[in-house]
Amino acid sequence: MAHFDVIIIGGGVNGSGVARDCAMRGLRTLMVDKHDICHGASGANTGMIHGGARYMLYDVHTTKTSCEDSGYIQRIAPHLLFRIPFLVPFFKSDPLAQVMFAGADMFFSAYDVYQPLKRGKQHTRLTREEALKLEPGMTPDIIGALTMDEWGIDPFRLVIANAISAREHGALVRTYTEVTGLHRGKDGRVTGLRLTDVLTGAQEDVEASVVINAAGAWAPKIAAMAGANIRLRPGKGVHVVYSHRASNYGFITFGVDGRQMFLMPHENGTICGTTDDDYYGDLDHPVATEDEVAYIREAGERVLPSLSKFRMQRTYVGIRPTLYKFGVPEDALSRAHRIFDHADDGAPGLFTMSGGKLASYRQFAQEATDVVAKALKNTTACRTHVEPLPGGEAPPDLELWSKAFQWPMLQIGRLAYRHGSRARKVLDLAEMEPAWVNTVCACEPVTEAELRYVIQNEQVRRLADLRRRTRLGMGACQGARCLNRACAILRDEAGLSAAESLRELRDALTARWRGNTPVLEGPAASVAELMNHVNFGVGALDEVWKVTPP
Amino acid sequence: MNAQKVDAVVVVGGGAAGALAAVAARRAGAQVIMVRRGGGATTQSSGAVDVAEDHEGKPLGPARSAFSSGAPYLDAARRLAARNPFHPYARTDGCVDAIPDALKLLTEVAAAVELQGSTQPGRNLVLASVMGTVKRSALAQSCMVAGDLAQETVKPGEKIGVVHMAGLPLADGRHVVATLRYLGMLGAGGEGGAPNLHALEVSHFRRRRDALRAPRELALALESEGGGVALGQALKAALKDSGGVDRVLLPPLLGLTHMPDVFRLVQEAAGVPVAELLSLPPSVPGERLQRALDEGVKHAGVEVMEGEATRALVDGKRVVGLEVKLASGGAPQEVRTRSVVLCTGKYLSGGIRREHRFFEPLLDLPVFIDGRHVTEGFVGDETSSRPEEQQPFLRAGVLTDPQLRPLDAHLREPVFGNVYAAGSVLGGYDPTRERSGLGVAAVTGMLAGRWAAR
Repeated sequence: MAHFDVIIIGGGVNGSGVARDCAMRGLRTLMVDKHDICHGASGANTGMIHGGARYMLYDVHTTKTSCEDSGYIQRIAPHLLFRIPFLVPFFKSDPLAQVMFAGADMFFSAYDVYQPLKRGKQHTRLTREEALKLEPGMTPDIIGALTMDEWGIDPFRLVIANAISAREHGALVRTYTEVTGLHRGKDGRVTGLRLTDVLTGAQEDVEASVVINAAGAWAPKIAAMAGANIRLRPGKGVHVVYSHRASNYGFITFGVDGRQMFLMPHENGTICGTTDDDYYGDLDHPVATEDEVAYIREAGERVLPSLSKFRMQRTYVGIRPTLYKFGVPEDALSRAHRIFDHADDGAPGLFTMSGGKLASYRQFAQEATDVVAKALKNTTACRTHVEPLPGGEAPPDLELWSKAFQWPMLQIGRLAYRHGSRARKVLDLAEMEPAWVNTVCACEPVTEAELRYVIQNEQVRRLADLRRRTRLGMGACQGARCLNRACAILRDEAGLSAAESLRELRDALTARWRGNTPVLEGPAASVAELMNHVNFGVGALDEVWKVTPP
Repeated sequence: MNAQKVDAVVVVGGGAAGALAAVAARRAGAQVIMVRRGGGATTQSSGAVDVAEDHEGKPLGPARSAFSSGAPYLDAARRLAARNPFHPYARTDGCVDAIPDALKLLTEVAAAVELQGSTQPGRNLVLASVMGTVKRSALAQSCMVAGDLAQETVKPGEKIGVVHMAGLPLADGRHVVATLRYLGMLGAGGEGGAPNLHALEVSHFRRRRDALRAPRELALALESEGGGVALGQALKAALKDSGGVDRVLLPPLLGLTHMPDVFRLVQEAAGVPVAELLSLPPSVPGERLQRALDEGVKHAGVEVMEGEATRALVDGKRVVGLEVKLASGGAPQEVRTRSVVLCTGKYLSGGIRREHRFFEPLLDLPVFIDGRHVTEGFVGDETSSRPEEQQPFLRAGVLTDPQLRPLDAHLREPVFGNVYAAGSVLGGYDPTRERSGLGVAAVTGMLAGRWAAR
């Protein structure tokens, strides 16, 4: 039986962060996820490495460490971060606007103290005219605005970069591998796991000195296997994605109930959200509802009325593993993270990581790895804040590459955004076979060479894995044009059978459809008609899928 | 203001339904004006004409081969009509019986793409798509018909080559072969019942600059001097290496406006019948069909206004004029209408929209899903979470009387005495799951045009 120093259950941002840290400290590490890397809440957030300005109200320490960590992430993955200057408007219709404006000005002056930690700019106070000049589509119902400087990130690439780095430091990463049993020692100690490959059904037993449960919203299920009780208050967070960049700046806006929300450009589109509602439903297939969409839209259009002219493209949903507390509304729940030692529940060797934010993942991973290291008497220092993530080593010169390899700047820019300095490997692949320069997904754009590179190097087992790694099918056409073609490439690289290819196409299209249906309005309805025309009108996949194996 | 003297039959929309309505009305002696905004669903289509298919409820598998053409398309259309009282085939006077006429008219109007049917009249062609799946069509362009994979036409032992061009994003020949083989094996007789398919590696369009070109640019390259000959030679070389095949399927690229020339050049060079695979959008054969229709419409003496009908002028129960915003700019023009044929399509073309509620934007006609008048309400009620299942959402549209005049919200009488509708603005059927889109467009377009010209 294979033995590991540490096994991490869950390939989200926390799990991948721990796997990287453990592997870098020389521990024999295995990370498993029953789905793909970054499948759950880690891939369904607002995509920000923010400094946690909000926490200053009750927890200045969190703000400081958040800003510090945001700075570290910029240093280890400079290619993945993009600046999002935010406008914080103060509405004329709000009777307290003047007071709030002055108060917020002071508040952000206090936040400015931490901005240098993350190379953030100091806030500025804008008059109504200045704000409207910067963002003409913004509501004129304001007395002024403040600016706030934050950083956006592609959460998928962040998590995948951590997992790849873990692998390069010797960790084993297994996707689509579910924990179906725990092995227990004499004293109840968790000594290993029974793993089942959900695609092949193959089972395997592995031993571990320490098991870290980083399964997010699924963590209580893992803990329960050891007889331990973790109480969470899972919160459903919905975002609406628009197909274009609707503004130059991000906005802080408010829902009808006064909840704070974000509206901001993200990569090639715009994101608006999020909601926070107690969630009791199916963790594996959460879907947004139309009234959630209406609530989010209202908030977005409150600050940017022109948003109503933009195409809603889809929704995405994540379930936050928020720590349990009785008797408070969702928004008042702490975003703090915690590590539970299940020795207290008679299951020594098992620890659960719970809570936390995308922005604080590295810090949380370091804390969890310290716990593992202590248990294993490992004294190697943490280096995850100084050693670059894959691709973050040296910033590439895009113009030079564009000239040398004759790739359009847009294409090379998007490629280098995702892969940093490692984009060079994709370019080299395309030099071997010039025909692979063709564009498979025109929305992003994604080339055949990039798809082949990630299939070869980034642990791709299923068609939808390509989306998380390259944003394939996440653009305006929602996979109507590219998924079938990508499936052919996956078949060629990974040797899928025809039946498996059809299954992959079905599952990837089904996931897209579930995100699309809550926004079937205006132009989104026409994209839906096009998608149906492609897959059923021409592809006749409805009759084929009836006989496609599950 | 428009100086128009005689009231015209005004056709709104220039896809297949609009083209047939315009030509049918013109042939009935009317003055016809077509107002059109741009390419719609016809441009995005595979370029083959589906009418209906029917397999007596048998799923793919031992009971029914993927390569079975099923019932003759007219019988299939009758069965569709019998099953679904809201289907245009069921609701419209003499609709199914008029299909042969409509297909003939479509063939004449779109003469440039040389539409043809099966060698056995009335039977569906079985055509493979770039996905490697198959669908049934009544007619196809001359450069597609040799791709008929119907059991009845595939000779025992016949070898079919599928062109694979590395780096061509349009179609992956190897993937098509693998998927078609799998579909074949599902049928009775397993591997023995499937056509004998082989990938044919053709080294063409392999350079970096080709890889960056869109399908229509590649199609135009084949139309340019020597383009077709070069592909033919590459194909010939590949055929020699492969030991020869009896037929060749290739990516849908055989020219945009001069398809017959390109097609024949390539076929002659190959020395065996060649056929395009069915295309997904952006579709060269779809654009080719649209261009052929445009040509036919102009040839028939229809006046075409490029622009958008933005408002209707109503007098009692008649639409007496349309305000048209021309694409070329300037003040809106008023067009006086004797009758109006609405061929504005569904969501993709803007004929039906949903913004909080379902509506028909030009005349505010009531929209129905099956028999229900739909206004507000959750779209979740009109969709299934499994995309392959029926999506009532896609059956939204206007419902008409037997003369294709859109009905009021109570389904009692036409909203306007002189407004007709044709094509996918009609509700009650889902062209994508039935695979009946261009067939319904052709027959309802033709009938609506005739009736509007009375």
